[in-house]
Amino acid sequence: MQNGNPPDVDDLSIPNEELLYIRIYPDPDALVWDPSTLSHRPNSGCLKDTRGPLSVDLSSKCTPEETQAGCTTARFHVAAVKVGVARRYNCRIVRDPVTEESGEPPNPAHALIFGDHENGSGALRYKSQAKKIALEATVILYGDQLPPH
Amino acid sequence: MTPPAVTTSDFGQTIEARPAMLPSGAHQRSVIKVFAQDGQGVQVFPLWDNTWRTGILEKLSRLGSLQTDWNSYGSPPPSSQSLRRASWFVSSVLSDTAPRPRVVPVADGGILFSWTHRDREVEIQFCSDSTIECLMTSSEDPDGTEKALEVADLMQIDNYFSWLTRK
Repeated sequence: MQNGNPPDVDDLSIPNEELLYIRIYPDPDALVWDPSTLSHRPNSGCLKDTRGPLSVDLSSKCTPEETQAGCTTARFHVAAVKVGVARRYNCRIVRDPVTEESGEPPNPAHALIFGDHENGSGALRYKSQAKKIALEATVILYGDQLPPH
Repeated sequence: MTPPAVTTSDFGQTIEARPAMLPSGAHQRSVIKVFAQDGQGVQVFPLWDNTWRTGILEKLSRLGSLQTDWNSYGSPPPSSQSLRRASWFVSSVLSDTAPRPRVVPVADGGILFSWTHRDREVEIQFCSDSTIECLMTSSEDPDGTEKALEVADLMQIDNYFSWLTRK
């Protein structure tokens, strides 16, 4: 375990077809219209984080509404991406359920996407991992602050 | 160019507009509005013209009020360095004729600007540690070109817009 995170070992019991839910900060600029899919995707900057692996929820363990309700300060957007997409960019998916003992609200669906950022934190490389995943993600539940069109 | 101070003493009321309250910048443009109703009262408001740059500056100001955990994943608020540089970039480098960027806070304390045109995208991030990163991607070069920028490089922003719209 590093920095309180579980070991960076891909959990192959999570199938490639499973969806990963990600909360997206509710801002009109956080969503980008994709004319090829006729849907919004998250702005890739929303998945940029050098601090550590990316927090997500497993769709087999929760609904998009439950992921959205995981934040009570605002109604976030929820984006979804398949596990197989993250793996295609050499990321690892690890279960990381949050229990009551942690002092945080329990979340049995919580998981982490580990990447290969050069700082060794387990964060995703931006250009070759986070941005690629954002380009293939789709917003499936809207929150506040929608874009004008 | 900073507009001159405006003082009016009409109708027995003196209100001074303070140009120093405006952000400085080569493309700065202020609008002096004078309102009078029934010959009573004068108010002078030095305002930024209502352009997209005004909206972005207001947004950056709002982002400065974000608290820790603003994104629900424990993130720190945007750093003062990233906000200061981003505001300077909008007020002093970008012009009203430039395309409007998308502006989002980044989870590790930076501010990301992005412009998309067809299959091309330019991103400029003002990082929390004061560095500036640029990424240019296109369908011809999906892996993109990444580079660190100096402040002086930002003065060539029109070159990035030219690349973005080049056929």
